[in-house]
Amino acid sequence: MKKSILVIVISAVGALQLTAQNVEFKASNFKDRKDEMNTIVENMKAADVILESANEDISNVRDPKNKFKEILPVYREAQAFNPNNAEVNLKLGNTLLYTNEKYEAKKYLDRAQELSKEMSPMLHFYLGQAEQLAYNFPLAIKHYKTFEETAKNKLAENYKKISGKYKKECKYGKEFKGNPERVWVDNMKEVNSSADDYSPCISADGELLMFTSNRDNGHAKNKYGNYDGDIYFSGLNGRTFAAAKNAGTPLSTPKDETASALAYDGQRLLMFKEDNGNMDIYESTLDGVLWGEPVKKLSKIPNTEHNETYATYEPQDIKVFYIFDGMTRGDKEIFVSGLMVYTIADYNKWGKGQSIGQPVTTRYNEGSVFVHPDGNTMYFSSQGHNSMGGYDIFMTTRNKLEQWTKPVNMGYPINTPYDDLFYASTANGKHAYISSNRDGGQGSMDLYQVTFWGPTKKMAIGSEDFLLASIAEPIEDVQIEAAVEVDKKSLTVFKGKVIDNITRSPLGADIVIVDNATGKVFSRFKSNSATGKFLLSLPAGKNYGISVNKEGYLFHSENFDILAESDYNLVNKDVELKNIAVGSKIALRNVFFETGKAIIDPTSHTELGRLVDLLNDVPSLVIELGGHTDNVGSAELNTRLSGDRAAVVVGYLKKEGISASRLQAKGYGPTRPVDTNSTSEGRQNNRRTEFMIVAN
Amino acid sequence: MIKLIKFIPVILLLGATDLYAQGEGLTEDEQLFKDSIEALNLDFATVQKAKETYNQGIKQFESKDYKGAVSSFGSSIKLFPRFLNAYFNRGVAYSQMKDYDKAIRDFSTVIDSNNSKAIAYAKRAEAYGALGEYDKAIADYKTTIKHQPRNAVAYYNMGDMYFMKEEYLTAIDEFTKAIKLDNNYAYSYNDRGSSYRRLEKYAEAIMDYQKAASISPDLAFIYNNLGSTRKKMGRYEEALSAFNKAVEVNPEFYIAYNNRGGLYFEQGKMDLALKDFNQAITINNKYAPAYSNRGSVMHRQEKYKEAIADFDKAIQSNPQYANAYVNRGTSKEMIRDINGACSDWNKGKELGSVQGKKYQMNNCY
Repeated sequence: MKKSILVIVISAVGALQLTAQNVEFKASNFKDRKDEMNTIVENMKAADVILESANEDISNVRDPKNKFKEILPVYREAQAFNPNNAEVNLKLGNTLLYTNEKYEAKKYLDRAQELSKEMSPMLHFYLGQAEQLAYNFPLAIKHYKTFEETAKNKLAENYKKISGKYKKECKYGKEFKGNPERVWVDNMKEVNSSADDYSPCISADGELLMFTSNRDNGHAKNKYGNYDGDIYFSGLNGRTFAAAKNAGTPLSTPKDETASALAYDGQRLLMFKEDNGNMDIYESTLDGVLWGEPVKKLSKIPNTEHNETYATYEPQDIKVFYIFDGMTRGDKEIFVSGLMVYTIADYNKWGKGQSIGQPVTTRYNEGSVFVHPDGNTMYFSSQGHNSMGGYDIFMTTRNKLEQWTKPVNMGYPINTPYDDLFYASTANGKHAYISSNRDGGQGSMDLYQVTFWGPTKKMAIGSEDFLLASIAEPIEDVQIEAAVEVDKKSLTVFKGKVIDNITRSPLGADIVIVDNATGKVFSRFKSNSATGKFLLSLPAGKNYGISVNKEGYLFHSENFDILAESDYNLVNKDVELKNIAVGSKIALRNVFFETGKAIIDPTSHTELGRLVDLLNDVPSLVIELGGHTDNVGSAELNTRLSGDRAAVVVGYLKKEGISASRLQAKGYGPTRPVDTNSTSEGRQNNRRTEFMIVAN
Repeated sequence: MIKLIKFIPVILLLGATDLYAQGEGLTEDEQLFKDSIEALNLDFATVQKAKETYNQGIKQFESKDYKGAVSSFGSSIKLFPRFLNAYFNRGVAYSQMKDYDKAIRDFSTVIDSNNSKAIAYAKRAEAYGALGEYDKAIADYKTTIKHQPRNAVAYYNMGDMYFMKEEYLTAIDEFTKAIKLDNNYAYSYNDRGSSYRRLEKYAEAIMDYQKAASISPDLAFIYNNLGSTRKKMGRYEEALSAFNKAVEVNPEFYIAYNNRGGLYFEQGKMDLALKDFNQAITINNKYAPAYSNRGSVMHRQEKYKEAIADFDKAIQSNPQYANAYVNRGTSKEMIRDINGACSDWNKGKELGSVQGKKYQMNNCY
């Protein structure tokens, strides 16, 4: 039993916490702060009256003017004092929805929902708007439907017309959000303030920005706690705008001034301010770097006791489009006035203003207007057409018949469920400047820069081809000249002498050199007859045959090598030829005998050896050895001695193996002198041993 | 004894002259002769060395050691300055090393010696062509042809020179002559086809490419040329089959993968395009166009950071690749780096991209 009670108690406490406790403005709830509470309640009572009137304005599409601004601080104070009161949260939310701080509304309305046991139809209505602002379109529509089904009083009937519009706005919003435009919308952080910054005017080249702001300008605040509106400017610094500076007098004064439009060349400014209780359009002209005193733009006719506010230039300067609220309906509309007279004297004479008419104008408010430098495109803001909430920016173009065509919503994210107004664009259309009180800014109304992506940029797709085959697959034709034979050529000097084998005297003989490897004759020449010498160069590294031939001499041939690697490239070869001519007499000058005797001196053996060789080499040779003397002494003795000496030589030869049949000996004595006997030299020459070839 | 004594001076004299005439001692004339033979032998040795070095150079050339070959031929030329074959071979080695100025010098030496064959002119022409001196190349090819009127390759090469000079009609004439001399040389047909293509005579181009392909069916680049030509004619399906054939014949032909990918990209078939660009990159990871094209796919898929990374790689592979800069600018714009975008478009413009110029002018001031 105890357990179940505990459970019940716990759940009851839990239930109480789920539906928060609504705290009434009762003395019992604020025991220590009774006086404060009473002041607040008093103020609220007065504010409530204004709130009702303001809400009625809204439901009748009338300008609530400054009513919401006036009561906002009251409800803020009240809510701060008593945050847990459903009604004050609702009223604060309601009020905020019609100011530039509407992004704050949701949290108070949510709180109001938490604190309400039962939600009032109006709570649904305002929650619907808060959800619409938060892009929760299905939920918003649900709230609006609930409101329509549950609202009963007369005021609610008017509101039902509006909630019907808001439901449509939600549908448009869903469409636009699902199809974002190819733009970036960036808050102009360097330029904005926490106060209202609006009505951007841009020169056609995009370098000068002028706008209005009610930020702290050092003047006194008005009764709503706001500063008066002043005109500010900022110049483009590279790609960003510099911090804003107050344009100063004569543009900005302690009264409210609002900038409307900058001429395309940036030399004139349209603005408006109060004169005689209503707003009029003024124009200021730049004189060097200083702005001139603003003068009224339009002449008396279009300048009425109603409000002519935001105006725009158009390229030919013969028309002015402006916002006017003097029609019976009372909503703000786009009007146009044309220049009446073209002479300079009457240049300020403007015709009566006329509504721009269908299809642009609506029964809702139009908030701003701008004509593009091309003269045929107009951007304006309106709460009507297919806005997705509050003011939206629209575009319309002029056709060939000078008629404006059906306006087109600029889409999300240029437009939002918040108020989006004041479109101004550069001539090239890359950038545009708007104002919006959307969530996420620096506070209240802010300036935003719109950057158009432009047409989809094509990607540069690269492809390559090998159009030329010789580059694709280079021909591998790298023929070079062939290797060469390396013949190790070197020449060797070949020199020599041809001499008589016995007498050693030089001979001129025919010489033939043959390359034994090939058998080809390398050279034919004669040895010098006086010296017997020959000299030529022969390629080294070969074996040569040499044959030496002289008539009367034995043919001589031999072979020899000339080596390739000889350091000393000289080869010497002496050739001895053997005399074999019949009848030729060869003196043996190197054969000696003991004096007066027929005994051979041993020194003779060398020459005799040569003779032996000759006889052996030529087996057919038959010789006669002859002894000769000079004429000194007895002829008979000389003859006998010479004969003996010849015989002794024959004996020697026989002993050396020469057949006797080939040898003859004879003593000639002095009978065959070869020289004169009257000189000792001559006599010496005559004393000789000689052999004569008898046969061969 | 006295007689003996009398004889001695004679013997000695005889002996002396004998000795003098043999071995070390030489007469003045003989010495001169010997010196001249020695000098001649030195010459022979030098020439031998020159030939040995030359042969060594040839061995080096055959084993693709071109630097060594150049050095060896140079040595042989030093030893034997009239060694024309060495000049010629060195010229060929320089050409292989792509040192065309030096190659031309060597070929010119051969040519100026009035002892040259047509091949020296042909090789010099090749080197001139590689240096972009097309008129000089053409003159040399004409001389080659004078020596060798039936040299089809010379006509073909001359056609290429005219192609490089953008004188496509003349190029076509030369290719046609080459084809007349040798109608079985795929290169002539291919290059003539490319000349027609440059003149936008696509039907004739296709015919020549097909003929080339039928002669040498293993040359992937011919199919690639076919494919890209058909793409120009808007015959996408046929282009596709040609690119397919190109990669079938040579699965390493990254150029064809990239081209096929480009075709898919244009048809909006991003997955297939991506596959091909990836394949091209796998084969050649320094191929700028494939990186740039892949980046473009990333961009279309709104993956801008990946796109930029790919364009970075393209630029790394080829810092002069204009497309990569232009595309990177376009991606940088989408991540709000307008300064970076403008800088890149400007660079693309400087490198000759018309698109870059347009974007820079329209978006950056």
